[in-house]
Order: sequence, then structure tokens, then C-alpha cells
Amino acid sequence: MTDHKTGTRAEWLAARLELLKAEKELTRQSDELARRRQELPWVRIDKRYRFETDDGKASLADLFRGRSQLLIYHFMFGPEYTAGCPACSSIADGFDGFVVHLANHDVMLWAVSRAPIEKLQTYKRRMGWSFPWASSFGSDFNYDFQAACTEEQQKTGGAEYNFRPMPAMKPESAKELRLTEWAARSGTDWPTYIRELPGMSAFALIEGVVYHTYSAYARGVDGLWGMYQWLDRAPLGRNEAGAEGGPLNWFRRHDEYDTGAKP
Amino acid sequence: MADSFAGSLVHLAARDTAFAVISRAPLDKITPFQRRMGWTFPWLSSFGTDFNYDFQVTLDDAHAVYNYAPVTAQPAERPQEGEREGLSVFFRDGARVFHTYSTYQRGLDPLLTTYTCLDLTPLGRQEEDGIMGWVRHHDKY
Repeated sequence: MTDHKTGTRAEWLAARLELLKAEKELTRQSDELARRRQELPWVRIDKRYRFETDDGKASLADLFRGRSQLLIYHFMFGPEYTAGCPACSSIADGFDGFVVHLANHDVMLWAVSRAPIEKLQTYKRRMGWSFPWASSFGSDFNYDFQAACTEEQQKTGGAEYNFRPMPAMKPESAKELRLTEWAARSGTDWPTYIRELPGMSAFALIEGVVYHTYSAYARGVDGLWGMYQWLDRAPLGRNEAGAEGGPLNWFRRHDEYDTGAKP
Repeated sequence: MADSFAGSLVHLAARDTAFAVISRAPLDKITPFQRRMGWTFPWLSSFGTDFNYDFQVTLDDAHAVYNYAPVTAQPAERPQEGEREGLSVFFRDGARVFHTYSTYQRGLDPLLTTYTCLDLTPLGRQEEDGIMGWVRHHDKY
């Protein structure tokens, strides 16, 4: 028997209409934020980044594939990993289905990771994805866009993430966050694992010149995480406080669930 | 919308949450289209039942409320009868089922992650010629 408050249809509707006001306010705020994002000044990119793709070497401008806009998902998959980050993988489960729509509306969406292209291709095949995925192995790209830090920065706390200095991770915090388990799921140790960082960056290409327009990190990419958007509307919400392993630790790669966990 | 959620549903299942798509078309219309689109989520037909009318996603003279308002209050270009889009959420407690939440129209925006992405781009939604007018079935571009 549920101990949650229940009510008549009339009681529900009165409460729902109150909530609807707040939801509409959030929609308007979201539109306003999108407008302000478009007003950000663009920063010209002159550095010649090199990527490896399924079709060979590519520059940042090449990734646009004839479109004027480029979105990059900074997918955590370092050269030492044996498989992509499970959280990034669940985000990719979402965008894999709709990159085709963006590509037909002037926007290329790519995932970019530091692992060599062969590792990315093997993992992409395993997951059955078709979105474009480039390797930035050996380039500064991930470091410049706060999607990776060096071992040295990790020790001294000299890296920036989400536009502020990133403190060094203390072993006791790593233990609390169960980072060893997380890292093991990608075949590595936790210090190596967290040298890759999640985020997204947006670029524009105008008359052959690439501009960086926007980046978001941490919960700034919540909106792209389809499964959480749906769970946020379920009666119990994200329902992960009591999940085995704690928040964020309940989900698996889509081919790692028990066969019972099917929609 | 379905292209946005199809890949994420396996994770909902792992969090004690079932998922189904429901349309009023008979199943023999739904199934060929689902196969064509390559989707594998559960898709049911409510043909001949009150379900769509009760949850305000099929509109006619006798069912003229959508998104918690009379259809006459909707913007003029929006359809005032026929099928509309929406999400309804339920909780099951043993044999009892409770309706917990429904949302419609722009209440679905956060689930339409194609648009979430467009809102992050320098040029935004670029829909001066009409909302979603550019969208095709994913095999029709």
C-alpha cells in the first residue's frame, strides 16, 4: 500500500494547474537562456587541431561536413580505457537516435574522445551506435576545452573544469564516490579514469573560420541525458538514493543489464 | 520524439519504470510503421477505447480540452481536433493504478532532446518557417 498522498481528480487538477504555472515559467526561462546563449561572443579558433575519423584525418572545420554549426560531446574514453564511460554511454544512447535530425538542420553532432580511433570503433560497434565519433589522440583539443587534465595538473590541482579551478581529488573522496568501481568498468584505475571529463562544446563555421561559441560541463549536460529527463517525470523521480551502488551507480551499459531489464 | 527516447528506455527499465507508446491507430497500422522506423519499444493500440480521450490526447467536439485549457484557447495554427501529443505517468501499487502526471505540448520540450541540442547551438532552433516544419521521418531526409 502506498503511503503517498492520494486524491480525487479535482484535487489533482488543482495541484497540477499550480505546477503547470511553474513549468511554463521554466519553459520561458529556458527560451530566454537559449537566446542569451546565442548572444555570447564567438571566439575565433586558429589552432590547427587534428582528429582521426572513420574517413581518415580531419581538421576541426572538416567535422562540420558542410554545416555551419558543430556540437561536440566530450565523451570520456581515455587512451588507457578498455571501454567508454558508462554515464557518457547512456547519454550517447539518447543522441545516437537523433543526430540524423540535427545533421539535416545545419548541425553536425560528433563525439570526441582521446582514445585512438581503433578503440572507439571497436566500442561503437559493440554498442551498435552510428553517430560520428572522432579521436583527438595526441592533440590538445580535450585539454583546451576542459575535457581532460594531465597527470601533473591532477597532482597540483592546476586544471580548470566547468570554468573554475579543479581541486585535486582526495583518495577518501574517491572512495566515497566509489570511483574505483567506476574506473574498473572502463578497465582502468580511478586517477586515470577521472583525467577525462564530460561536457559539450559548440562551434560555428563562417567563411572558413571556426569560432567556439559555447561549452557546458557537469550538470550543464543534464538536458542531454534523456533517461534522466524521463525519470524526472516518473512518480518516484530519479529514484536512485537507495539504488544499489548509490546515485549514478545503478545504470549499466545498455548491453550489460540482466535480461529482465527490458522496456 | 521517438528517435530521442528509443535508445534511453533500457535504462528506465533498470529503475523500476515501464514504458509504452500508445496510439489510436489499429495495431496492423502501427506495426508496419514501427518496423520501417526500426524501433523496438512497446507500442500499443488504444483503438476503440476511451483511453486517448480520457487523457486528453484525442480531441473532438465532446473532448475539447488540451493542455489543461479549452482548445479554443490554443494558438490558431494548432489542430483543435484529432490526435495530439502528450505524456501520462502512472504508479502501480499492487492491483491499484494511480494517475500521477500528464504533460502536453511544450511540456514535452525537455524530452525532445533534438531541440535541447538546438538550444545549445549558436543559431538556435532556426524555425522561422514554422515549428518542426523541417523535421522528416529519419529515413526520409
